Amino acid sequence: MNSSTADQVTANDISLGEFVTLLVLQFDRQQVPMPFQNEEKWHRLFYAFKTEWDKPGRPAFLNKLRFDWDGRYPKAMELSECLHTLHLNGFLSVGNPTYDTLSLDQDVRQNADKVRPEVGDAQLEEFLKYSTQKASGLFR
Amino acid sequence: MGFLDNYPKLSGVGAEVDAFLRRKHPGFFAADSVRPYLELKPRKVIHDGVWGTFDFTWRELAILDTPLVQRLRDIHQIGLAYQVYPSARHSRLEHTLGVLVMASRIFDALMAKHRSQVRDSVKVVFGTSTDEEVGLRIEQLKQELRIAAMLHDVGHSLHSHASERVFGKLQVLKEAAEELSDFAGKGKGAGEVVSFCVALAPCLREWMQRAEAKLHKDGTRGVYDGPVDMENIALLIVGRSKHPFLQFLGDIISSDIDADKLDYLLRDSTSAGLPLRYDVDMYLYSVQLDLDQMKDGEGALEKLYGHTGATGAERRPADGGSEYPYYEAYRLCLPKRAMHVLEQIVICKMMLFSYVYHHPKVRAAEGLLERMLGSLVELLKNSNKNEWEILEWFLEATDADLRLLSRDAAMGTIQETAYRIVNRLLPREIIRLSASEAVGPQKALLAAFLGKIRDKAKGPGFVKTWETAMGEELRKRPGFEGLSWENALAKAGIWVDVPKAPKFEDTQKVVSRSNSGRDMASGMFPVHAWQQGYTSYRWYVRVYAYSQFGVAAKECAKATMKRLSGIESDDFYKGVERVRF
Repeated sequence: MNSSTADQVTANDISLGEFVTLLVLQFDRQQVPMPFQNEEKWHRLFYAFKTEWDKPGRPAFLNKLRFDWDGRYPKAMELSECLHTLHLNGFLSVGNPTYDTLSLDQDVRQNADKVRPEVGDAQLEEFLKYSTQKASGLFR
Repeated sequence: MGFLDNYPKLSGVGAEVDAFLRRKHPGFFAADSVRPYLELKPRKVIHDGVWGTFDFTWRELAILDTPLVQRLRDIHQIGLAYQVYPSARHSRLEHTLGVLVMASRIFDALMAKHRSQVRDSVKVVFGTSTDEEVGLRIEQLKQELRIAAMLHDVGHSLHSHASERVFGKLQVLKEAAEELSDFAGKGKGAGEVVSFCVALAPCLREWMQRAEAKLHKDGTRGVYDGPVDMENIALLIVGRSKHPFLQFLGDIISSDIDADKLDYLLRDSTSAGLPLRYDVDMYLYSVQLDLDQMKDGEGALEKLYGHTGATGAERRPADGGSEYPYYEAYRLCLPKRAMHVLEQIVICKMMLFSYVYHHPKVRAAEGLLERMLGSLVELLKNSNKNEWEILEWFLEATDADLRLLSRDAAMGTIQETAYRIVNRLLPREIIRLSASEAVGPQKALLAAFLGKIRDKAKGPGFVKTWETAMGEELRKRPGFEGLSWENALAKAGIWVDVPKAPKFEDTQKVVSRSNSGRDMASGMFPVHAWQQGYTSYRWYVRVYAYSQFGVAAKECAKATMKRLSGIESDDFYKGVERVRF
């Protein structure tokens, strides 16, 4: 663990909203397609994170992230809300004709350095890289 | 409480609710109560402005007659929306009866279409075999469904959702809601905790036993008078059932296409005077059951069905066809040919949110009410009332209490706020933010700023940071010197309003796959396009202030937002400020 300043996020204190923000910025950079209309893959990805208890840098909020077991896949309402929030805020857009995938808003992409939460934890950075790899396999 | 033995917080609320009802309404719920006095008719007819004339059974009438349900007469279904839409004065009671009617109609529609599946399920679930027994069990399930509909909203307090957001913060309810979510395997809130506990309250069971003893047996032909299972009723209220084969009953009460929605969409829009409609006949003609997989990766359902003693419910292991263990369950859904009904439902809901629930004046009134109730809770706590006593206040309160508070001079600022709400002296929007308000670099900064406000974990802290900054700024101005930042904000009626985003229907979940294949809803249903339009242009974070402080409040809001968001452009602030002042 690194020492972090008050404005920096670490695996212990990062929120779901901040984590997803970091992920989508990274996905965009790595050209990982982000599903929109069918959220199932997002939920499966996050449920996999939740069950990887001993992965270094794994964000602590995952311990408390609740999944509903009421259908064909585990669904975290908070994650759905979070994805919608990024959409509502204009962070992400769904300009493609079929609304299948999300893409980062152009203005946000050009100013990504201003809006990216600052990470103060090397293990969290590693976990983000691992998450991108995992999503890359699952989302494609 | 039996099957809640491992859920101490939930059992605790259950015991409290039972004790409260016995103490508060001894004539109905005390062990030595002599009510009901007279013999009960097996059935009665009730007329409803939306759905017409319907039969109610003696058991439903007995519950309807209790103060528990009668209280709902004095709670407006859509809170303070009548301050904008004068005719939107319908009550939770009307809605409750409407949900009962619609739940019953959905049940009948399913029986007409899936009689053999339901009969086979009943044979497995109850271990019955004769036709007569199966028929009786089906009648029992229908009765349980209707009672669940009648009780599903008894947890509401004054002005519906505005008060739920306040009493839901009580620690005892938060912990109980956590346990109920674990128990049900899906997230549940404070209002549902109360309704669930009411259904399980021993005093309600005793009341129904006394009612049964008074049932006039002549004319009971065709009216179910066998036993009912209150545990199943409680489960239905939270969208579950005692057995996965009967999950569709839980879906009728709580799902994306439930009876609750069918009623409130039509009732709220009709009462508000908005001509919104969906094709209810097509819904009832089309609604169907699908045998589907209900996944159970964490074992929540295994635990639930262990508690309920579901016989014949097999938890199948993860295999090639499923990544997680699962139960087979009958689910409520609509076929492809009824997609337009789903479209209509989504449009109705969007319009209701846009025109009614998130109308700036409705949000102003409800925000003020929330703040007033928050102050009341603080006052009660400072008067050494414990959380149970505070919960009791909410369990008893109706909309009439707002008017009483507005007349009670001893209540100080609470009385002043209540007076403002009652007399519609509401704050105005001074700033209105949505994603579509900015372009270029400002768009990124605005997205980040709104992201912080709407972050569920950190958002309330960030909103408080902004409000604190506004309060500190305000204290520097004439008329506010010497006040704390909280009092300065209260005097000016300033707060940041962050409405919850409407949750739209999960089209993937409710559209049948039986004839149409996987994901057929994708591509043919433009709900996401509508949703994007809605959220970009009709969903706002707002800052409110009383009219007489509007100019100063607007200056404070803009100055502090500049600091917190990094957005400097004057043109941007000209675009987001409301110009009425």
